[in-house]
Amino acid sequence: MPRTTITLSEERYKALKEAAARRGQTITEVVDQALELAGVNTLSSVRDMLAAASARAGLSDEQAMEIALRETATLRAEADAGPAR
Amino acid sequence: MPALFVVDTNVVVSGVLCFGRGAAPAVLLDRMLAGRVAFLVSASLLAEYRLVLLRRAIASRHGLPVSAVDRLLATVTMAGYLRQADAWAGSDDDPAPACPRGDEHIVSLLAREPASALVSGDRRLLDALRGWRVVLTPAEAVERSST
Repeated sequence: MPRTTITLSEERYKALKEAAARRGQTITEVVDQALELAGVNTLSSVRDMLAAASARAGLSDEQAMEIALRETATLRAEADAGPAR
Repeated sequence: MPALFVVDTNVVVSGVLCFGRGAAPAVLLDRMLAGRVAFLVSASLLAEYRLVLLRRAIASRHGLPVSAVDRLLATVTMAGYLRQADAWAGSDDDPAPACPRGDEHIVSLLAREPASALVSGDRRLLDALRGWRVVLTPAEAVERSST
């Protein structure tokens, strides 16, 4: 796995160590999880994920839009009938 | 000035379902992820993207687990411009349009940035907001973001 060096403020470094101790994780694990949650993914990995999803769906372009329109409209109607968004 | 889009949920969901095949929603989603188009998101709109992507009729087709949908949306969030878009009732300078019920979160987000343009596959919504904001079909948005 590649290694890198980053510079943090004393305060941030202290917070990072505290977070790792609280969670029972290493600093590497905390940073990796934070980057994942922040959406730091390679574009190619997201594209590959979506291409596989599209292949599984097996819908024509028209069918894809049709089902997307129908499900979005249904959700909005349900939200409108229920508590405020 | 580059276009600033508000991308309706039906476009993002359709883009997922036909990704990689050259259809306009898929091309637009790819440009969103790549940071090649500027777009606005709000907490309400992101929540709606997630809810629709996880509806049984959609999730059973794309097969993405919740974690993968969240990964996609984290990437979308990072690439877009997040705006607070509370309920908006219009102002003297910018009266609220009459919009179909349930679409208020879209209108609120468009209201935050008068230069923004709605991209939707929903003809009814495009017709309702035409004249108040720029409205585009996915194909028109792709064409506009290509120049």
